[in-house]
Amino acid sequence: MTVSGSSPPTPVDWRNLIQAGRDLLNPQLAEHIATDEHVRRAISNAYYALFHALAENNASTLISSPSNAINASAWSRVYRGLDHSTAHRELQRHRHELSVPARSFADTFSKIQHFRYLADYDHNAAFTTDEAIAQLAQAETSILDYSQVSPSERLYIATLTLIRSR
Amino acid sequence: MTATPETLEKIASIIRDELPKYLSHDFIICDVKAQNRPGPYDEDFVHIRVVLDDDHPKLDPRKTIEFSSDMHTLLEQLGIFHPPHISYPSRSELSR
Repeated sequence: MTVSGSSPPTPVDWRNLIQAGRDLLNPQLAEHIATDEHVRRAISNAYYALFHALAENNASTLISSPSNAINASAWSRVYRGLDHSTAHRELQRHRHELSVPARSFADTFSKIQHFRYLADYDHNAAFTTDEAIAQLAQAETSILDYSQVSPSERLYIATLTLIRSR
Repeated sequence: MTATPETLEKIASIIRDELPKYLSHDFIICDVKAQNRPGPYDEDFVHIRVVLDDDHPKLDPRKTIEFSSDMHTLLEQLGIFHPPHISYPSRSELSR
């Protein structure tokens, strides 16, 4: 088997996405007043922080830390296997089976995914800076709480969000 | 699922009644509006806007997440199976 690349896979850092979203809304840092477009991008970042945190959790739960080229490739494949609609659908379908922090993560993932959809595509939708700040804070808190969920439950969620049932 | 105008009004009323249990007395709720919004999978979701009076303390994300999850479970009884999206603009932001 040939596997290309030898450096360990690096996830998109969800913390940096949250911080980038906050920077967009911070007029002192960015030397601008947050426009509607800055607010929309900040909301989008809140969702993508959740998405990449789940992708990283799934890969690390299923493959652990990559130690060679083969399992590094497997790790990347699992990471890239997360799909927006499957994740939303399965997290909601099974939410009543989940612990409180896992259910909160599932709900936050779905609702911010839908808000992100408005922010990215609905030119008529209007958002405020306070709304975007709250999305970023909720995404950050949900991700931190999800990291405390038991490994066995995270394994279950990885299989739910990645593997289609027949 | 698209909520009827009656259901949206009922949702807004539930939020008005329940939210003060999750926030301190420093928060003043000026208005609550629930509306259908188009979602990414050809289905609507309910967006609830809670307008807060200016100069409120910082919202505790853990409380707002807990409130949202609890409302999701409550609204399932009204036939709303998608998690409601609750956002918290300040009053002055909406008048700009």
